[in-house]
Amino acid sequence: MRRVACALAALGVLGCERAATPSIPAQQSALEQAAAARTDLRPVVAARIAELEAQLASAPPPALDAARLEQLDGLLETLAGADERLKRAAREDLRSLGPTSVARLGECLDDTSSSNAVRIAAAQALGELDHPLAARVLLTRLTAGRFTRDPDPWLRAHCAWRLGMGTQDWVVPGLLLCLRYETNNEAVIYIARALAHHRNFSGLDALYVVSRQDPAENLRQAALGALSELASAANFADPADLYRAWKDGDERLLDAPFSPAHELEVWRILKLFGEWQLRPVDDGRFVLSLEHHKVTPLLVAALDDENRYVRVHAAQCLERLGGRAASAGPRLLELIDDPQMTEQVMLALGALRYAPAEPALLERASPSRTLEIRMSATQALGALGLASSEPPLRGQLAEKLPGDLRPALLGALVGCAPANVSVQEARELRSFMVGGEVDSAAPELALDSWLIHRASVDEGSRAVLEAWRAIKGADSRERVSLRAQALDPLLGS
Amino acid sequence: MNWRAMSGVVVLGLGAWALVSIFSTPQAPAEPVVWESSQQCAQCHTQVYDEWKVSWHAQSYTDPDVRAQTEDFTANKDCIDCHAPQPVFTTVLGERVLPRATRRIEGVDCIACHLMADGRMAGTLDNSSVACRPIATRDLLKPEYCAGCHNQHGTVDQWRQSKYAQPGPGYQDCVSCHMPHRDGDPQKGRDHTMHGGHDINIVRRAVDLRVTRENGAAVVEVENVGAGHNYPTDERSRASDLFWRPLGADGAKGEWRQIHRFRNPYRFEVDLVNTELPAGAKVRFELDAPESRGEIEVALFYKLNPLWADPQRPDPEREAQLVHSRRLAP
Repeated sequence: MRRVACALAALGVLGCERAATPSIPAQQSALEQAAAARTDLRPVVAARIAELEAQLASAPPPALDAARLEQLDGLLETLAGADERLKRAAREDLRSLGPTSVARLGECLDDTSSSNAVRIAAAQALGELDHPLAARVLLTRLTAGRFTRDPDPWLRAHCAWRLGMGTQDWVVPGLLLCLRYETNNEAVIYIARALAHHRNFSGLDALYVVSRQDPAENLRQAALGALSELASAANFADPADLYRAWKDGDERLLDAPFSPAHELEVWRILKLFGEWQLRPVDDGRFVLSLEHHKVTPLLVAALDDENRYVRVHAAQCLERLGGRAASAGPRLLELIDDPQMTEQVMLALGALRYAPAEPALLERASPSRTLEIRMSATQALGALGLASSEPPLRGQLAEKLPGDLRPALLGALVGCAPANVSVQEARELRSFMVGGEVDSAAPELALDSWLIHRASVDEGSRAVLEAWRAIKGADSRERVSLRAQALDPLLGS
Repeated sequence: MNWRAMSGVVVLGLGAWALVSIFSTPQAPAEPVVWESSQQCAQCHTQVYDEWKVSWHAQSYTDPDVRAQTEDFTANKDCIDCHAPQPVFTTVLGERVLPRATRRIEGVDCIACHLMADGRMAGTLDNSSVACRPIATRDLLKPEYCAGCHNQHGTVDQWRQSKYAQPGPGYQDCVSCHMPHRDGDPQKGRDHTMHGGHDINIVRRAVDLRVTRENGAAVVEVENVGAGHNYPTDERSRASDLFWRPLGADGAKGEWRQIHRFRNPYRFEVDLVNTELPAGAKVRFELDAPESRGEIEVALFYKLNPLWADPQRPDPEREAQLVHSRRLAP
């Protein structure tokens, strides 16, 4: 009947219009259906921010009158002087002024016409106030100084130092962001120290880099000294032990929960995940991935937020936290079929090494699933690294596998049972690495893991691993080509 | 033939056509295809595929510069979102794109742009009987479509502020310039090479460079005459530099001296200001060096990498592409 109607319409008999473009409503309804599959979504982030802001709200401090301002300036001059007795008295008097002095101290800190000694004294006075407003000024200076190519990076180091002496743990996310962009290695050392003071050891990586690579001997030594001090202060025998404990989410590093102000900072970052622009999202993913593993429950809670991007990026942060976010495993497994983040959830489960996820991941790696889901599930199984995953994964090698699934499958086998990966399979990975038909990064990483395993059991493979590792370079095409040749002694040419 | 006879022929013809339409055997709908690679599209759409294959969209994941900056997208996974996105239609038009797990090496490919949530392809006509079962959708032409990635650097917002975004005869959008009809003929479809800032001829059409003398002083003007967004658009990587040099009477050329740089700095360079030239805008510079009163050459260069080998002595002729060059007599 419809064909009759349309044919008549062609004759102008009926007003039958050409079907309207259905694409966008169809897309939206598909997503609405997907979202509707979860009935527990709610504005988790907005609600928590509102609660915490109400809890932490406080009236701004009154402004200082002219006489007090003059007194403050005098006290700062004294604090910047040399007389220790007078300095002690000035410190006490400045502290007694409380948060009312913050605005003026901030001006003094930023005043490039002031002497270095006065500016340092201002940083000291702000630090010793140990007040949220004062810490905000120091953090802003630490950030803004970098932005304005501050000719005096020492001032940033001072600000970081002071931030690492108080009790304002909410500065940690800000410090982590500074660590991302800081270019002055002295400031980097003090940022890492400040983070450690607040029980965040993500700065250890930066300290290792400075200790090995800075051209100045004194900074290399300062970084080494900081590593030893931080390990000792945290009751670890050496920095490497502390580093491992941090990366593993060791219970020994678990202490008091985040303060409400710190938690509020985390929620504010999570809110940014819903922004359209990727810049704050990138910064947020960086910061939360380096946070203390105490951040895990907050990220888990964000998995129920009504905003799809908040959920997706929270899952990505859990993935990047890896083993440190192990406690997120059960909830992630429950959410594995959230259609708007199933891939991210699977990858997080793998990175967390959450063994109970294995059956669910194996099912999703099976041919009944879409390629996108199979791919993520296969990668997750490789990261999970359970020997029991090997037989079902290996069983799929007999199939004709589409796209880049085959190298992913071989890579997963390396993760699950490296000893059982044959030379022939390694050759296949090498072909994928240089063939240009798939992304070279995944087979390159898989071969790296395979070589590490081989080197641990075979003397002859160690030289190959060393040769392989010695080949560096940003140009991936050139690098993988050379690395492929380096494998010749093991795999043949 | 009189009008009655003519009417009869027309009515009979239309009637016959109607009967054919009603009783002809319909074409069977095609079996749904699982789309695993854009190479599948090449079987039917050879020209489009070949155009796309040499485009920068096809190289968004494999370009050595991008891979070097992201350490092969392993150390920095944040860039995957735009460099290997999930299909725009499945993420929802106008939303920020999300990263995909498969066929990343194909970058921004046929599937990323055309695949819809129901497995059909967005296209220019409805046809259920061919493998990709296209559905005609004008959404493919909307600037919001490009915004998912390109507005991360503000390009679509810049266009929205421009005269080209105003409804009327002067309206031109992303596809007007970057995906024009082949040979200007709508019947031939749109060019999928998607030329942009990597094509120096496009860059040359975007800006004009003028030099004049006012009271003996050299005056240089640069005007964004052709880009519907800032010149250059994008963030961090792209820069356009204006230089001048004195020319001796014997033909000797002096050293290049920089007048200005057009560039939007990267996010951590917030001490630098955005000096891009908005659509339709022009800037003017007056040279005050005594040598500029003699014969000079003024040139505008373009770079896809903002760094100079030696920032103190940039060598634009070696390190950048020439956009325009003008000579000015004393």
